[in-house]
Amino acid sequence: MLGSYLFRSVCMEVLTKIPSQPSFAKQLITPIGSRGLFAIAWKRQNCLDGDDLLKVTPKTVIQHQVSREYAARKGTRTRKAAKKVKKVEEKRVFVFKQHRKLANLPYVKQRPFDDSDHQAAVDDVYFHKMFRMKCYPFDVAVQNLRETHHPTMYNVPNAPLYLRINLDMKYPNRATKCMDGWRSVVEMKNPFLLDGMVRPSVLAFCMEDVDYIDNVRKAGGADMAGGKELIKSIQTGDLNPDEFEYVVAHPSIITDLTAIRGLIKRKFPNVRNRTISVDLVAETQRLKSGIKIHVETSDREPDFAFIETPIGTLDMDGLADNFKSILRDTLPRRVANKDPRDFVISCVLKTPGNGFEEFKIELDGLLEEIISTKPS
Amino acid sequence: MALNVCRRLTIPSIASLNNFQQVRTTYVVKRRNPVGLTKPHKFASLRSKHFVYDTVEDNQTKPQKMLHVLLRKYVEDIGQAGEVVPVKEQTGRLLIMTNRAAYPSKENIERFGQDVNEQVTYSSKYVVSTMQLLSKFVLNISMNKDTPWTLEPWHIRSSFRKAKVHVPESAITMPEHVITGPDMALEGKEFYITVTINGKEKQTVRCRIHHWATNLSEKLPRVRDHWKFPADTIFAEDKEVAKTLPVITPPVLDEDDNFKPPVRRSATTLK
Repeated sequence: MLGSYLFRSVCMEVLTKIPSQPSFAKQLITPIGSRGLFAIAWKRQNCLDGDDLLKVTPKTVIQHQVSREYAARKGTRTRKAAKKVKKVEEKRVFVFKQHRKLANLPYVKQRPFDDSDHQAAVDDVYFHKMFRMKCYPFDVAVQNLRETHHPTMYNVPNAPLYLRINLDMKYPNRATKCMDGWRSVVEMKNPFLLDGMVRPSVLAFCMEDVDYIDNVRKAGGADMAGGKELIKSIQTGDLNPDEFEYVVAHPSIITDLTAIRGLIKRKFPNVRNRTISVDLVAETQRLKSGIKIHVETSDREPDFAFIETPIGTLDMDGLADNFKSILRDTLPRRVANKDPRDFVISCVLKTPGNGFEEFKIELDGLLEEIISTKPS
Repeated sequence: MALNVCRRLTIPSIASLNNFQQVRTTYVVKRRNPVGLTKPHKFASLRSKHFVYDTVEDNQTKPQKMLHVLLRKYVEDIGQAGEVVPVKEQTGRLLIMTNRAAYPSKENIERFGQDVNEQVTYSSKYVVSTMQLLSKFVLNISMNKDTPWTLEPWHIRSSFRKAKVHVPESAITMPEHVITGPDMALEGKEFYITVTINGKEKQTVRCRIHHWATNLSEKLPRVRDHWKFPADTIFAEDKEVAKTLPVITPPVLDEDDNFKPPVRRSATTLK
């Protein structure tokens, strides 16, 4: 219905538009037929391709040549095609509903609450809730944990002792810039082994001296030590360097070691990690008794980070030395001209599981003392 | 907020003395569309748009100023009698209205000087509130279920510390009888100790013994909210001591508060 109406109206328009050339109009109508005329008129008006409207092809052909004003402008189609934005479907990774819920939970800030404005306790008996949190000296905090884990109470005298160091990662005099995290291996003065903890394996390349190799193996505790024959066995494939966590080397053998750089890959010894050293015994001891430290950071809270590591078990001696050695590793990592008391927010001692107790450690003068004294 | 203020203004109640005070709130406002000039001896022609205001200042959200008052009596957590202390304006006025404080003028200090000296004094301003808290407090002492023990002051000190109460060992006086265990007859039963605050004020505290097993499988079944319900005493003579403490009234449970673990339907019941 609509088509026929359109057709009629357009036809009339064409006829009215060309009254000055009646002969031309006559010629048009007679050979093409009314439908063909409509198609031509349509083309003229809208500059569109009206081929699809020509369902019945005209049997006769136009005798006169007509200039092709109605043709679509060059490049219109390509231009419009370029305009269209292709919708790229995002690849959806399947996640269980429970995990998705966890991921969508609001981020809880990790920075501890600053209660320095709270009033200090006056009496000798008081409820902690009302006053500033008490700081204990390191020995007292350990003693407190030993009491709760005593055989007459919780009966876990060899419970692992964990240290948490809260760090402020802001740059001084900078509004937004923050430090990155780091990883390191810290030597424990009093080494320990917790349940499920394994000492890392060490491969040592020494100079050609039987006594020296023996010493590194026995005193240092290297899992495997040797000279050029070790390099050969790696080249032949008898020994796989991927089985070892650390590779240490004496500077005299480094030139031969470069031949198997591609096989050792990232564990290749270097000076910065102190894995190239003249004193291999001390280095293997450091790596063997070392604790891996990993600084936990998050994008949501870039100005804060924390370290959580075990520093021993409750029943062993020399816990304070282990604590100090971790502080000695962390403090030099701070940005230059940042006060160490601003860098370390607090140190907290705790035991996992049924302890539930956390003790803030008194740091008055301890940080300055560690910075001023050199490691022995 | 506004509704609350209206209520407070219209219905003065004596239930809380805080409500007894006049509400001191002011709003400073400004016309959003200023009124044009008016002819002399004629009213300004005000339209509805002229009654739209913007708040410039709101006194309700302002921090209160500090007011110095002279205390006539001992006031909990604020100070001893005779002291001049800074307090918030509202509490200061309340104290003055209830005859517990006065403005620290020369005349007032002369007037209440004698009266102040006769008042009861405590070792510190927080003592009374800590004594009140301790009197309602139930200390849980978890002792081992397997290894033998006798109760010592450091056991009590560490259990206080677990409950976030700081009590030195010197402040604790143990009961006369020696308590030894493990003994299942003691489980969940009460005995009393006295805590001396600042070497002066004494307060008896309820203690209950719980047997703790290190292995999860050997643990005793959980008792829900045990500190909210009264318990028997270990020693018969302690019953008189218990009368001096405030009575533990068990909570009134709702009708639908019978907690049961959800039961999972097995395949056989589903048809």
